[in-house]
Formats: sequence, C-alpha cells, structure tokens
Amino acid sequence: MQIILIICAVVLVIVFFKKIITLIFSILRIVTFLALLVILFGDVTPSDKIEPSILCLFLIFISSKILNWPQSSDYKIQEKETKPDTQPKPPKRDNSPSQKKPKSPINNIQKFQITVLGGHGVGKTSLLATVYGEFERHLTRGLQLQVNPSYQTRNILNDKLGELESALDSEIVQGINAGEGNKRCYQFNIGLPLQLPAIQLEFNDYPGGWLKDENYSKEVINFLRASTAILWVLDAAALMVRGENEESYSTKINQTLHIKTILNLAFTDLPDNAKKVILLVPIKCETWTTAKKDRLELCVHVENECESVINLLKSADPKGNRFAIAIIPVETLGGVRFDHLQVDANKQPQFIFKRKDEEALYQPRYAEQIFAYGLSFILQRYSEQSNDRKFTEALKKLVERRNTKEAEGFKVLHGKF
Amino acid sequence: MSENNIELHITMLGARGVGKTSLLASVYGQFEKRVKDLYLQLTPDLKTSNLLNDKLAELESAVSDQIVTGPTNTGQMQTFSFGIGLPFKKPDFNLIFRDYPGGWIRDKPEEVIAYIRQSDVIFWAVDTAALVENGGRYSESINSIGTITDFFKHALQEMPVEQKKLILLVPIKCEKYMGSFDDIRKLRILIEDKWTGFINLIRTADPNRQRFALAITPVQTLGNVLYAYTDDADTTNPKFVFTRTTKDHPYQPKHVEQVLYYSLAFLVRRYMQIKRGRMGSLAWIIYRFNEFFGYKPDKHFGVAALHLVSLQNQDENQGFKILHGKYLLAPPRR
Repeated sequence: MQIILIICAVVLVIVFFKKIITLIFSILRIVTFLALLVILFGDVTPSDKIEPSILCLFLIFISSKILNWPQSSDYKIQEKETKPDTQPKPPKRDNSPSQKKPKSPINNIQKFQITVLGGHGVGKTSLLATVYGEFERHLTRGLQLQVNPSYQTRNILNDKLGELESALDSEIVQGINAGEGNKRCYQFNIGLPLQLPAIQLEFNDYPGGWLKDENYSKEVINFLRASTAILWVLDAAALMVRGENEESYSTKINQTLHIKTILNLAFTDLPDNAKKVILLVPIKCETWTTAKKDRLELCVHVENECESVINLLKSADPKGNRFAIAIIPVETLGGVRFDHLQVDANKQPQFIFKRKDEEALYQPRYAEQIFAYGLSFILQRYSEQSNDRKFTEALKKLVERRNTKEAEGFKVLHGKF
Repeated sequence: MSENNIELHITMLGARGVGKTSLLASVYGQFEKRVKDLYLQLTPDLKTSNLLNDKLAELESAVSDQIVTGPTNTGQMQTFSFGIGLPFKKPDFNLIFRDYPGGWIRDKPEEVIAYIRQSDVIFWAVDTAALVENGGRYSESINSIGTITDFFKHALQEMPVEQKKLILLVPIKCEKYMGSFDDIRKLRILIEDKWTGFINLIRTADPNRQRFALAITPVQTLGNVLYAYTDDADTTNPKFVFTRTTKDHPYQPKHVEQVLYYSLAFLVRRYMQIKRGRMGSLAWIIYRFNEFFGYKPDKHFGVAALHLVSLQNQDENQGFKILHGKYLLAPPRR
C-alpha cells in the first residue's frame, strides 16, 4: 500500500513538477519579501544564523526577477508543442470563428484570415503573387512595420511571381495556369521592427473549381465566415468586353450569381460584432485604367455586377460599422493590353492579351493597395484590442498611403476603413 | 432543413422545350439585379445556385442568330430550392421549385396531378408561338390546355379548405406579339378565349375568390428574338424558329421579374397565414398581445409584401391581367 502511495506521489511530482517548482518559487518570493520587510522595518536584528538563509532567499528573489523565470507562458508553449501535428480543420459554422481569433504559440500572435474569392481561372493566385511581389517595394518603407512571409509562402509565391514575370516574354500573354487540387494557405507575419510578430495574416486560396462542388463550396463558406477580409477577384475583361454579337461572358467567367449565393450563405447569422472588409478587385484591367472614362466605366461595371450583395450588406449594416466595401483595380502584369475575344467550339471564351509593345515590361500597378486597404482594416481591429501606440501610428501611415482617387478607379462603397 | 421549417412549393407546367428552366434562371437573375430595398433575401441552395449560374451564363452568352424551340434537354425532374428571409438571417421559409420534364404530361399524369395538388404556386408556361401561329394548329398538342385543365379537375377534388393557390399563365417568347397595344390586347383575348374552360373551372370552384388567384404575366425571357417560321416537317413534333432582331445586347429579358413579384406577394401572405395557423394557443395570445402593443414579429414580411405589390405590373396595356382572386395578391392585412 505504501509503495503504491509512494509511486502515486512520484508520478504526481513528475506530472506537476513544473507547477510545483513555480509554486515553491512564488512562496519563496513572498517569504523573502516579508523577511526583508521585517529586517528593514522590524525590531529584529539579523543574527548570524538567519543571515545566510535570508541572503540566499534574497539572491533567489533578485535572480528570478532578472531572469523573469519561471514564466507560466513557457510551459504553455511546451505543452502545445508536445501535441501531435494535426491537419488544420476548416472552422465550424456555428463557432463564430471570426470572433475567436486563434492565437499562435509564439508570442501570442493574433491570426487574421483572408479569403480570396473568385471563379475558376479568374486569376486569384496571380493576384496574390503580385501582391506579394509589390507590397514590400511600395508599402513597408517608413512604415515601422515588418511584414514577413513564411518560408513556404515565400517559396510558392516566388515561383508564381517568376511565371508572371516571364509572361511578357511572348507576344500573346498568358497568366498562371488555373490551380487544381488542394487549397493553398499563404502566411504573412506582421510586427514592429526587431520584435516578434504580433499579427499573422493567413490568405486562403482555394482552387476555383471548388465552387462547382457542393461540399467544397461549404468549405469556402466556412473560410469566408472565419475571414476578416475577403478579396473578391473579378475578371475585368469579362466584365467590360462583349462578344461579336454583344453577348456577355461575365456570369460564366466570374460566376457572379453563384458567388453572391456563397457570400449570402457565409454572412447568414454572423455574430453582431463580426466586422469584415470586402475588397472588390477587378484584375486584368490594364486596358481600362489608362483613360479616366474607362476607369470610371470599369468602376460602374463592378458596382453593377456586385450590386445586390452591396445592397444587402448596406441594409444589414446601415451605419457602416461592421462591413466595409471598396473597389481596388489591380494591374497584375502592367505591360499588356486586351487584344481580342476568342470563343472555341465548346463556347469557351478566351480573352487574349498581348504585350503593349516589344519593350513592354512586367510592371504591375496598385497591387500594394490590397495590403493598404486590407491591412489598415485589420490593424484597426487589432489596435481596438491591443491599444499599442506604435501599431496605431503604423495604421495612420498606412491609411495615408491608400489610394482613394475615384478618378483612378478606387472607390469606397460602404463602411469605415 | 428542420421539421418546423415551412416549405412552399412552386410547380412549373409547360410543354417540353418551351424554356421553363431558362425562365427560372432569367427570373432569378433579374430579381438579383433589379430588386432593391425589398428587405427580403432570396438565397438558393448551393446546387440550385450553381445550376442557375450556368443557365444564366448560357443565356447571356448565346450567340446564334436562330433559336429553335422544341422538345429538348430536361429529361429528369429538377428541383430548385430557395430560402427566404431577412438579409443575412436564417431563412423564415423555403421555396421549392419543381421543374418536371414536359413529357410527363403524357407519361406520368398521376405525378403531375400530385404536384399540382401539393403546390402553392403554379407557373403554366405557355408557348406563345404555338398558340398564335399557324392558326393555333399546334396549340393543343404543345400547350395541352385541355389535358392540364383535366389534371386540375382531379387535383382540386377534395382540396383542403385552408389551401390556397396562385396560378400564373406565363406566355413565353412573346416578343413578336408585344409590339403594339393592339397586338398585346389580341394576345390577351386569345389566351382568355383558349383558357375559357380553365378560367371557368377556377371561378366555379372558388366563387368567393378566397382560394385561387389566376393571372396572366407575359414575359420575354430573351428580349431580342422574334418568331420567324415553323419547321413542321415532322407534324407531330413541330419546331418554332426565332431570329434575333438586333445584334446589340442579345440578352435583354423583359418583365421576367414580374413572375416573382406576383408569386412572392402571394407566398409571403400564405406564409404568414400558415405560421399563424400553426401557432399554439399560448403563442397566439402572446402574438396578439404583442400586436396590440404595436410590436409585430413578422413586420418585415408585411413591409416586403407591400413593396412587392407596389412592384407588380398590372397594366392590361402591357398584357398583364389578374383574372381571378385579386384579393389574394394584395398585401396582407396589417
């Protein structure tokens, strides 16, 4: 019996070793503090017998303060790290995930999900690659913010960026091949310079073909519910160009009707305090961003295409405190122009783009604005909770860098950024 | 779908290949584009949404100069489901559209009768070209007026007293006959004449105008096509050929959303009645108590119904006419 008790005690000591140590240290700290008080203000004169022990306790107190050890969060890290790695499951619909920001084990990093929404082959990955290639050049200078893509993100997006950059080598320009297979997740860590990151942005890029499948569509809906920012990518050529017989291919390419349904379902029964930004991003718009008239026309087309969703969001949030919507045209390649529309025997339209001239270079434009708009909204959410002055300053600078010129095709349709 | 969810049914009757699925895609597409400030959201389920997106894409990108109608496609029964409720809230009730293959009128009459019996709204898609052209020679074989009237006779037998139905006669591809007031009037008179037996059936079955509503709502699903000629090489299977009037904007539907305004106004009213009918005595007392103090739990439906009625086109000069049961299409008593 005694042996069993001893074994149990040993097991308990092993299991709760760290906690016991923490407890002992806490008790020692209190005892030392009290002893010091007594010595300083009490009538007791320290005798030769207690002096070494008091000194020892004092040293422990000071050293533990300096080293800041043991720290309870350390144990949390170790506990989490010992858990086996499991595949991240898509958030459940009923869990109101947008409110429960998952915290990464390192440094209490706060995660924000971003979903890239769009039809099959519309250019979702191209957009992300361009954003990745451009944000550093245009945005981070003087911002006092560090944006670091994870190694995996860097590798994948670098490859995609390489593909995009070499797209202008031939006269007829073709983008990145439409992705198949699994969803990709791109992570960007954001923090103050020389500090551990405080925010993690997670871009969810699902294959466009998922929207055709009911079960995968449900997964996309779950991503959208969990996302703070949604990038709705629209093919500007499909919006602006009509066929020889004036037929339209926008519903076919952009899958507008179905995406509207997906957004409606994703926003159904959201918690009242859920806040989201929806960025309508017409891409492949190089031909329509030169003249002011074309830019305004593109804006009108985008607005008309997404009108019903915008109206619903406005009616659900008349004051604009919860949902923010903006149009951000992005030129993912720069040196190209729309040439003609080709419809094959299967009635599949192909919008053919050509280099502007032989010396045309890869010069994407406005991609950094996705970060400027999206990140400023996310930083706003973050600073509401953290109250970190430096982040607020970075936010102010980021807001200043937003392009809000309607004449250039940018337009805030609803809400406060 | 939970058991407590109220489901309302819509059946689409009509000949094979007349364009029933196109009508639905067109109706939903226009509803999405045109309806503002309705305070009601119509959300299809994912399967329906995908199907309608593809159908609408097909309509918008149709390029051929000639359109031929006749027995085609839909070989199986298709069901489209929509949830209706406040924007971004759980739907208050579900709307189930049934699009059965036109051939069932001959092959599976019992099932068609069962659908008619079960449905709250019935769209009777009328092939206008078959009705008007060739002296109406093919009207009976295509629009099956007599057969469907007989189906109604069967379906309406022992219909529960509390059940109400809206029947919409929807002339499709009637662009050619919508040119002048005179043409429109002629078409309306022709429909009233050909459907006399059916109209009389409804009127005698419901002399108090409390259970049936019947209206004509002509729609132009494509907008820019005109009847050209009939290819009746095979007299049992005549094909009607339409040509595009202009190459500009080939897809310009007209009045299609009216079908939804009429049906939703009726269905919202019907939903409110069913909901009140299902209330227990305590819930009814609480409801009345709330109502007495000015709080109406389903006020948004009342507002939406009013708005829908205001959107209804009832202009006889444009071919619309409520033939029976106008009261059922009015906004609910508030």
